[in-house]
Amino acid sequence: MKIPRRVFLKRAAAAGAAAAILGYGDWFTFAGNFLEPLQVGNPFENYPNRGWESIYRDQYKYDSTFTFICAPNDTHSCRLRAYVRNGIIVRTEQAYDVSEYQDLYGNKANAGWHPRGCLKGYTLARRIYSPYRIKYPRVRAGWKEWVEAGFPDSTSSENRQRFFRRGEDDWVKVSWDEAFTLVAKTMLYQMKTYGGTEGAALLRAEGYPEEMIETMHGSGAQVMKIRAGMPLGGVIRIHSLYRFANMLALYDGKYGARGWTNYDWHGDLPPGHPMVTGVQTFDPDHNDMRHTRLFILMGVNLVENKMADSHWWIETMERGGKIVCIAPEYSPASQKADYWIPVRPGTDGALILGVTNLIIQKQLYNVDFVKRFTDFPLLVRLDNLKLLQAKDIVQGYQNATLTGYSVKVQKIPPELREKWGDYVVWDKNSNSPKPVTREDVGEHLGEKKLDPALEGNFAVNLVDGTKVEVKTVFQLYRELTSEYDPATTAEITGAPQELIERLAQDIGTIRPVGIHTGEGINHYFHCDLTTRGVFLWLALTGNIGIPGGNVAHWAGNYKSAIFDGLPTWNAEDPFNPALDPDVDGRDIKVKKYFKSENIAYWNYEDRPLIISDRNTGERVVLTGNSHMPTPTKTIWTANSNNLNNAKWAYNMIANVDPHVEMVIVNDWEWTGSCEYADVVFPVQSWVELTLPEMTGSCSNPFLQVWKGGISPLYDSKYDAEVCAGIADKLSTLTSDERYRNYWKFILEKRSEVYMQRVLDSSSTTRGYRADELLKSEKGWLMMFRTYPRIPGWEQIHESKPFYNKTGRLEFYRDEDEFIRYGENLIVYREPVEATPYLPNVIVSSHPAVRPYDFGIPDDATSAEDRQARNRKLPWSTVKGTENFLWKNGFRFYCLTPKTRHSVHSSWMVVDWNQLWSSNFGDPYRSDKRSPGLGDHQINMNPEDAKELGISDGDYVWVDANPEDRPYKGWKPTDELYKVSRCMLRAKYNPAYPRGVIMVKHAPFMATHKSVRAHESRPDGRALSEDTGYQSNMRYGSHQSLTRGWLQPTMMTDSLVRKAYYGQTIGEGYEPDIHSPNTCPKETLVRISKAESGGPAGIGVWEPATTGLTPGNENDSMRQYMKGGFIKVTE
Amino acid sequence: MFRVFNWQLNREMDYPFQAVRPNRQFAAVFNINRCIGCQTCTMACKSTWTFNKGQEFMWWNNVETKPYGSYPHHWDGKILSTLGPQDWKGETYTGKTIFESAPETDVALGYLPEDKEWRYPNIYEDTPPPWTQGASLPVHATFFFYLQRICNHCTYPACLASCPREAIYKRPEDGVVLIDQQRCRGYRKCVENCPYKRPMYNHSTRISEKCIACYPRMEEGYVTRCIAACVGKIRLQGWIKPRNEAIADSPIDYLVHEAKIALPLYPQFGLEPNIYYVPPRWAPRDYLTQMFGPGVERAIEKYTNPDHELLGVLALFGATRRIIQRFKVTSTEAIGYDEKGDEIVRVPIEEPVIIRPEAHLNIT
Repeated sequence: MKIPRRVFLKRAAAAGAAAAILGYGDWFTFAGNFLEPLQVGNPFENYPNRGWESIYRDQYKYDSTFTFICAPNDTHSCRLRAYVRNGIIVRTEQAYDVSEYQDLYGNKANAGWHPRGCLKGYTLARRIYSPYRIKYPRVRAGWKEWVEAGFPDSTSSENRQRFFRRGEDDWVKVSWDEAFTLVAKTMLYQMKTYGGTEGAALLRAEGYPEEMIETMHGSGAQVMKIRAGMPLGGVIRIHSLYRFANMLALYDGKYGARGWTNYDWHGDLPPGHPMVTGVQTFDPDHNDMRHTRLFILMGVNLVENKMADSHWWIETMERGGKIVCIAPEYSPASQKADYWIPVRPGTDGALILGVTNLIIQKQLYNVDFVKRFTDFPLLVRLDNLKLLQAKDIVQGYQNATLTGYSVKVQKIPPELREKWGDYVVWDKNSNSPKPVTREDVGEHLGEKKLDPALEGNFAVNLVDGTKVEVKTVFQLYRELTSEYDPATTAEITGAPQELIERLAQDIGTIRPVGIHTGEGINHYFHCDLTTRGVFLWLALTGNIGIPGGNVAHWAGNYKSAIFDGLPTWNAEDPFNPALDPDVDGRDIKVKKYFKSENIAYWNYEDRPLIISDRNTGERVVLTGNSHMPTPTKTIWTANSNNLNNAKWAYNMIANVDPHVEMVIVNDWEWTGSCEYADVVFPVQSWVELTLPEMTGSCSNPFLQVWKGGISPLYDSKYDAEVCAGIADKLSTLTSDERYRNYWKFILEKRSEVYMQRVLDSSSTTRGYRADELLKSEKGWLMMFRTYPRIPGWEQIHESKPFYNKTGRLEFYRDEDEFIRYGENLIVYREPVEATPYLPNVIVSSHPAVRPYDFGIPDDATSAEDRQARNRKLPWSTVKGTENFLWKNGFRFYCLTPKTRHSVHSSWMVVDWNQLWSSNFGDPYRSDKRSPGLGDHQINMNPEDAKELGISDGDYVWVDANPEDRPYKGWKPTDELYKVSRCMLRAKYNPAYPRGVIMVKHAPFMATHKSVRAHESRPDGRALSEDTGYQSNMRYGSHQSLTRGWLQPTMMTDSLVRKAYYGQTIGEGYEPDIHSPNTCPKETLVRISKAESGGPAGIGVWEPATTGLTPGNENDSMRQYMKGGFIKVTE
Repeated sequence: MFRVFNWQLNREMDYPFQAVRPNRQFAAVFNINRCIGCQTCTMACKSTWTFNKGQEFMWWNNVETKPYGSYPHHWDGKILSTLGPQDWKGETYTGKTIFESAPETDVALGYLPEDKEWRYPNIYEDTPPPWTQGASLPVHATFFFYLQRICNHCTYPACLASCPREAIYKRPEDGVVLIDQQRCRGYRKCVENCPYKRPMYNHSTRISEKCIACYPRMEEGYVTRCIAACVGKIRLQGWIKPRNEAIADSPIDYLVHEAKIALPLYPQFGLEPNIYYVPPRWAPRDYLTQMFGPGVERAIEKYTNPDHELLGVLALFGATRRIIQRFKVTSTEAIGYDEKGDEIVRVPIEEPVIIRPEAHLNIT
């Protein structure tokens, strides 16, 4: 404890600096006070100098607080409390107020929900005050010139070079008024130019297919694509963009702009849910997970996601339940599991059939439930694979008159009800076929005194006298799944056989069972098959619609439909707007003039899926008519990092957006989407909102209304005010008052008028008053039928039909398209790209699977061909085939899940989040190659890395199918190729099996300017010079590895499903319900070393040389890992 | 040297001061089973105390993924290997503490981390030993878990014992250990000797700092920022007594001394740390015993098969941001009370299902 005197004095001098900081003025005063030794005595008893403790009490002080909703696209909408000092939010904390949330009946939530809010809420202030905030409206210089030059031809390469150098051009600060004028003028120009026959001719000349032009119906506004990004997060201010799209019908009285959707494109929508139930997504509120006793996670990480509510399921381990995790890797979710079943990426569909086989073979299914609530007893004709209809076998059959839920609550257009007809079961009581209607479900089946056979092969006489063989749907599944015996299933999936058997046994014997899926299965081409398939396990065992028993799929806060009156805001009839603020919301006239459209078509190079049938020579359009997109000439997005998070982002830049004339982005911070835009509008963050806002959630029952608590930073506006401003300008330019009238209450700064109308007209919120909700500064309960909201509860407990043709959980799809594509039954298909085998092959030999192959040969490699080819082969043959990409050395599966450290790209460049999100987070940037405060990393199995000569911490190149990635037509000498080739930093991670790598999705992409900065700045930061854009990547993006896809089974005109809002049942396209799902995990990559990870690019990254890291453990590390430093004897 | 009794080691041990137990001792239980590694606690602390110049690398609260993650790098492996293999006999520690292994010129066994060891705070997040084809309980064939760390506000702090100026002290009213920010001269003996590496040196102000248990909040009856922040509901704050003085309805005493599901971190170092962990039910027992001492198997068994009272206490985790002094569990609810005996929070043990009239729909 003795310190040499010279050291003491040297340190004392240094402490002078500390003295100044602590307010002692100079060193001498300080020394005078403290050079005298202080008698401390016993520091456990009476420490004599405690006055200094005021330092931390002072640091903690605050002036005031307010609450607000943190509303990114994570679904939780947590109410946080902001602590304000001198007008600045110094920190935040969860509000701990859910126990006070109640509904109009006096029901209350409870403290079990506490607390709500995650790390991102705590670093939110770093985003609010970040250097990347957009301070004023900006337009791209070349684009402004183009507008001012009177919109010269945008298709000529000369004009593109001059006016459309996105990503490389300068930016001009403009006033709001000028920005509104430029945008409004361009909109008027486009509506005029692309409308009518002349517009059609222009587009035809540009090369758009006839179907895309036809679907415009001559309405020029339809070339504008307006995306309200994840709009449930902002019922008023984000949905305002759809309202704007609707308003544009004022121009020609026919159609507004197209409203781009979110949930389907991003691969969030589980397309199988409407295929089984008719309902968009069948997820419950998260507190329902508390009731589950067998909790299955399949391709979802509910540890790193859904963090506000993870505890509800993790506590299963304290409550006598079991947790099972199905994933390729030992993931954070695997950690919590009773058992973890590893699977080859993309093969979950085979596992589903394998477990189904066991449930059937071992008779673990609930016969009664299956007969009453599923289509398993319905008869299928083996001649044409259609469901047997009552009119097929009963002469002069009249469809039964429906009297119950189907007409009292559900709304079915009469022509559809006629078309669907009634179905047939084999009644065991009479040993004959008998009709059943969509209302003969649940207890009503018993009322009809029918006992349908579950299995069997029968022959029936058709009305025309012929005999036809029929089987029950159940019989078909018994046969189909018999090829998925445990050994075969284990071989296909790589899952251990005993775990497959154990899972089937548990599903059959534990109750309730809940299965939760996510992007891990949904980001594959055949996500419809897997998300249909998971219902098999639960429907067979009666685990649907009961507390704790449900299929749930988690991705995105998509459920705007919980406000079923939302169309009073986003689709109010612009020709009959209600200008009286006191009108009851139910009296608003709703007319949706804007057609919704999936961005997936823009992402597919602004085209539908068209192939050539080699058998007939015909041109076949596989995109249904109801889905058909229009050409894209304007893109306007809010609350979304549209380009950054687009699959195939660099192809959009290189080959698609050159056809687009105006790209507008609303955002708080400058993003990759801004880098390649034409107009950027700064908008307010959640803590700055000058007008009230409202939100809800798909995963909790809370209704939240709030307003900002600090003044807006810089010159930012409430998103709806941006819409109102452009509308106002349109009125000025056209002398048509109706544009600005449509925004009356926004222009008067009274958004609560519109909010009240939504509350009035929504079945879940009628009776609430917006002003009271706002004043309460807390959340309230949405009024669903149950708390927690349990989808299917009414169907199972009250025998109400589902929202499809048969009224039952449907496992058989007899639409022409499904039969044609070989998916009338739920089959297993290899992925369309991420497979070692023949891409997209149907692995089956069942005779009721009769796919049409369009004559496309097995060796066809184009994406079009692979998506369309429907080839059926048994596993014994499939396992001998080889994917052309695999053959060419592209052998790594590339998983791209979402990280806990951000919400997609939001928060990606916040300093503190960056420091924690990789192995390379360093606030002092000791390695100047790091683009920011860390590096975006690639998780690799160490053995794979070593084989490729890659050390832990090295920089690597990651390349995908060179035919079209990173963009079509790339050349190694292109500047864009340098910008877009994906470079990541290697992290050895044995969680991943050989052949599987993982990259967290949505880093801020490399752009022309960020790369230029990275290569020219002495500090190496990838910080664009004029825009101040900070990239997470030295080069490329994870979207350098992905591309757009379109699934034929998701583009039918015949699937029956509930409409987005309300109770109407229809068929064909429905936004965010029946529509393609781009699947970013459909890729195979090659990895090669780019640079050594050691200092200045020499040698190995220092931590990996210590002997303490994965794949490089020394003896001491091994001893530590075995617990070898402690021994316990009794 | 003085002899003091360390109940975690079940024996007396040497300590440089005549340590006196505080009137109340701040303590908390962290349930590793529930932790989701979200770092909300980390950001809560950072945004309150360590956002200033010189503190860029500091994270007074951190969550690291074991076995490969550590902040600073390999802090536990280093002190374990320096201390060498040691023994427990039953529940008595027969090995040496870091005080008992101290070199001649020092108070405790320790080392001073280099600057580079404070980089990459989340190194090897979510990283297990080699991949296996599946895993199942009772012990996963490959594993990782999150270890959440703050200052343990030890009963026998090494930092306090090492400070040449006696500028570190323990508050009698709550057992919080503080580095006097006025009297500290930045000698860094505390940084060197704390085996948990919780004191951190600020190279801008040239003095050392560490977790202060958010005493400005504690003084008002609120839990620390990191404990309030825990969205995984893994943390519960309260007060602890030594084993022979445990209070039955004090939540921390109940969890540590009665239910015995929460264990101290590396008790063998000899500091009697006051953050207690419910060990993860899936991790290898030898590794866990090295970290939490004997009692691991018993803790896991009881935690995964809780009786009704324990289930109730578990329901109180995360229910309130106020300090629960006493608890009560009824057949349906768990209730927390403050030091005055007033009810702070009430939470149902089972989640209810409420049905509303038929006009309302689950599928809108």
